[in-house]
Amino acid sequence: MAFTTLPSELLIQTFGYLDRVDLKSIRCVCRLFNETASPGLFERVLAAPRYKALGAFQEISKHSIYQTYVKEIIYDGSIYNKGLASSEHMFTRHLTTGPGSAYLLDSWGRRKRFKQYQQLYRDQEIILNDGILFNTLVRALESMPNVHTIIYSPGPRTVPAELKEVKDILPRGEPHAIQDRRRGDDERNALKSQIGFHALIGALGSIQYQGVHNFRVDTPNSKGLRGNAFTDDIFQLSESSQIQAGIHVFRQLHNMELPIKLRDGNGHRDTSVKTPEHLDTLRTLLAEAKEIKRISLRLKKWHPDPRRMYSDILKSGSSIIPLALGDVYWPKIRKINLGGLHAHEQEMLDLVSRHNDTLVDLEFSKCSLISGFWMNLVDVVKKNPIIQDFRLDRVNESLIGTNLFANMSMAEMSAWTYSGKLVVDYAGEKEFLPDTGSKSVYARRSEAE
Amino acid sequence: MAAASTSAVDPAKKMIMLTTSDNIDIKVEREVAERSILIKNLLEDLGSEGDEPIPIPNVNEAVMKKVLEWCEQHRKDPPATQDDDSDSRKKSTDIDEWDQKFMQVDQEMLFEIILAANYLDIKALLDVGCKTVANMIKGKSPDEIRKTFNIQNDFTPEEEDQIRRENEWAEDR
Repeated sequence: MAFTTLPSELLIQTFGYLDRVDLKSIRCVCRLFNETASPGLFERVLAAPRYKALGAFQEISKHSIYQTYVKEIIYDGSIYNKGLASSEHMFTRHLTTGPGSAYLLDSWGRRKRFKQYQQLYRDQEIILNDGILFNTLVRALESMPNVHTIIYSPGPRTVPAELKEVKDILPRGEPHAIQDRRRGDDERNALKSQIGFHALIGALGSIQYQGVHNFRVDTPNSKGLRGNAFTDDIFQLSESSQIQAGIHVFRQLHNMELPIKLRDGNGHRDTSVKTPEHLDTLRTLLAEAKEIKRISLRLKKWHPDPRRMYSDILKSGSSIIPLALGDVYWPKIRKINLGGLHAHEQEMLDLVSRHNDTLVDLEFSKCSLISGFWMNLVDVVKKNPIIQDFRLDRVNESLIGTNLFANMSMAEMSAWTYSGKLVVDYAGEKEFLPDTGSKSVYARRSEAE
Repeated sequence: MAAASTSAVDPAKKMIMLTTSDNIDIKVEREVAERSILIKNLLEDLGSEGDEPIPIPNVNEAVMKKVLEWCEQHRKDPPATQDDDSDSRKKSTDIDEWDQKFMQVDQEMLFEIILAANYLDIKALLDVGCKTVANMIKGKSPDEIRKTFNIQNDFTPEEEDQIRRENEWAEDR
């Protein structure tokens, strides 16, 4: 009895415990191992607006066997920054304080790296603006029949094929991104990572690709290099063909995980470019997702004051629900997780009651009721026979007595923040149990009555 | 032990008989043997009192004894959940201490245990076996892996180059 005589399903199970670097070693061991380990390695491929990375992606898509292994496309949203590509001074400043050994370089070495960064930036612009990314993705998708998941990653991610050319180069994305002095440049920069992602959605739409059931947005996995986040700008689609492509993709989704970072208005914003129009698009897309079973939609950069949180999109500080969700109805929904919403109690109740027949799992995180009380929602959920799992995670009401929650001290705020979950006791009775240290949602019962 | 078939004992403690591939009969408590879903289903299908020896034609005595040693240790474990988070399962190759010691056997035996666990349908033991092998691979170069498991390199140099090039197409993480 030897390793190589194990049946292939047991080899596959064993290799399933290995990370990708080990899988690569396994592929080099012998023919049998190569055949057995390759599906796991090429299951997920990276797409990015860079020649070397795109070349690797293309090679996999052209390989008659590997093309069938691809199930997930992960798009790297991190981009080379225009501001840094146009200022050697700023580039050098970032380079010498950044990670890696670049601080050891002499001035000639630094200049060389700057030139390289500039070149990579120019390449990126061509790939993004001349349709190279879109066309490559279309051709690749035509030969990859088994893609079921698309992922937006803030990056920065790399394939080994490009390691050499990025050596001692500033990593893409935050914190190595600066604004060009000229007004509105920040806008374009933020949009650029999105243009590339639009190319992926557009490609899926243009060939009417079938079978993508999962769409996930990842959040940065390290504090240091944060890449380029998925922001609300992504829903700013100017052409109707783009919206049609988005609709095609959303119609097929079963699972969606969307943490959306709202870009903060810092005064530099050209508000004429950005109107809540993009939220109309988001709402349209969500309404088309009729096959969706699980959705997580969380607006990030939470602020207790809706006027501050939504400053660019909602001046009045009113509910975000009519803009972002509307009266959306998902006939097959089983799990809803909403975060970062300032909304009215009635809107949340309506959302739950619209999905009374199918919803089994519900969570609100960092949500704030502009009017009404969480206890009323909890009571409705307790009476609902279908909902099995229900969680509140750091939610609040915006008015406590006569005090605005947003004006409270940190300590007061945390005292008026509710977290807890639904439990079923021995008698089969449902009860809402606050987390340790959290106030009961019923703390304001007398006021409510 | 001849009284094993008399009733009025706890059915879990009742002794059953297994016949291994090399024709050896092994007596074991029913609860222990039932860690194997295959044996459990056989006992239920036979519906007998378990007096008949159950043939296990794919496992020899030495391996069977080793497997039963594991089953004895884990007899009270809760049954495996149907589909626990496949992601977290995939990542962790942690093995508890007893199982680690248990798996310190020669490679021949290690792969026999894995094969037996698969045949007998003992998911938790199969997992431990595969994890143990995975841990023997982690961090090793292709050549070190070949040496560890005594595997022949059957690639031509060109093929090997090609695989290394292909490896460059895929992310390391």
